[in-house]
Amino acid sequence: MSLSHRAQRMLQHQMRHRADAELNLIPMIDILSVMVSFLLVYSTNVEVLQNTKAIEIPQSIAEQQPRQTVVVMLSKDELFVQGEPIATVAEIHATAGDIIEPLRDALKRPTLVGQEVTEKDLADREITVMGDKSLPYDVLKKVMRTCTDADYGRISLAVLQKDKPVPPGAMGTS
Amino acid sequence: MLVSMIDIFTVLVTFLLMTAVFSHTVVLELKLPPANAQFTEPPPGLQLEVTVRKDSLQVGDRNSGPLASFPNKDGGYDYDGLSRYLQQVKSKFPDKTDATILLEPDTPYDTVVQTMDRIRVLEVNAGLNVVQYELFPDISIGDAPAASTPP
Repeated sequence: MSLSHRAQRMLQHQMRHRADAELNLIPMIDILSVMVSFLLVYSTNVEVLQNTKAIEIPQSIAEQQPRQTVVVMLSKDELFVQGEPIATVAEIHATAGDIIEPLRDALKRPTLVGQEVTEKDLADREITVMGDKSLPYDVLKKVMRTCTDADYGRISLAVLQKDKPVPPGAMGTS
Repeated sequence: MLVSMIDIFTVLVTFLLMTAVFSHTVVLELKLPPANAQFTEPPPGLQLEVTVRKDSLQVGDRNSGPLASFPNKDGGYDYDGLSRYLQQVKSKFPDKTDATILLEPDTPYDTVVQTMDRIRVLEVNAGLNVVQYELFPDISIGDAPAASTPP
């Protein structure tokens, strides 16, 4: 079966250009440079708080950046101070008063912050609480009470920044 | 020449992609009294309190009593109603920046944060951007008194 006239011509054309076929480099470099600049812009601010998979923190519209502080993490079933397990949520539930003793002992440790703390700073030391969003307020209250009792006066709650909703009509105009 | 440039770009892209963070963690600051503070009489004037119940959100003044109540809508809290009401309060008391959230022991942490958001700022769609107006950013947290009316 012989090829049609047109097919023959196309085959010849392909054969002629086989040798100098090459990757189209300029658009590829364009894309790469756009990606590099985009990622550079978005990776300028360093994350202070490490997010873990065990904790699902709630979303919020807050814009305050976290600072370097002592971090208390509350997962669904355990409590960590600076990554070190301290107590379980079941134990916190069982605590009769408002003070969680193991947590207070851990927070009272002078080496926790890694720096000398003067008497004046003591009252407004900062602490960040990362809690799972399903935890009841009861547990949270005990943790916060213990924090203030251990002289951490300023408590911040870590939250996930909510994505800004794109209003209708904003697409394609910028 | 071109090939080495592509090499560098590829390495950069992979490196930046690996370190890129797409979810930003931010913090909400609380204003709590120190643990050894004595009980003091609230100063005169408006002392705004928002009580989170199982079935409603209630706005009140510590000195004069409840002001408004927002029953749950569609199985969730009526945050929009609360937002609108607090906007009116803010327009009457523009200098006021503090509020207290009162919570029941089994309120989920997520609800606490959502309520705090609505009390702190008001979000308004202005043209293409969302603009945040400050309402009552200095928030403290307390225990809700037992419900006065049985359900």
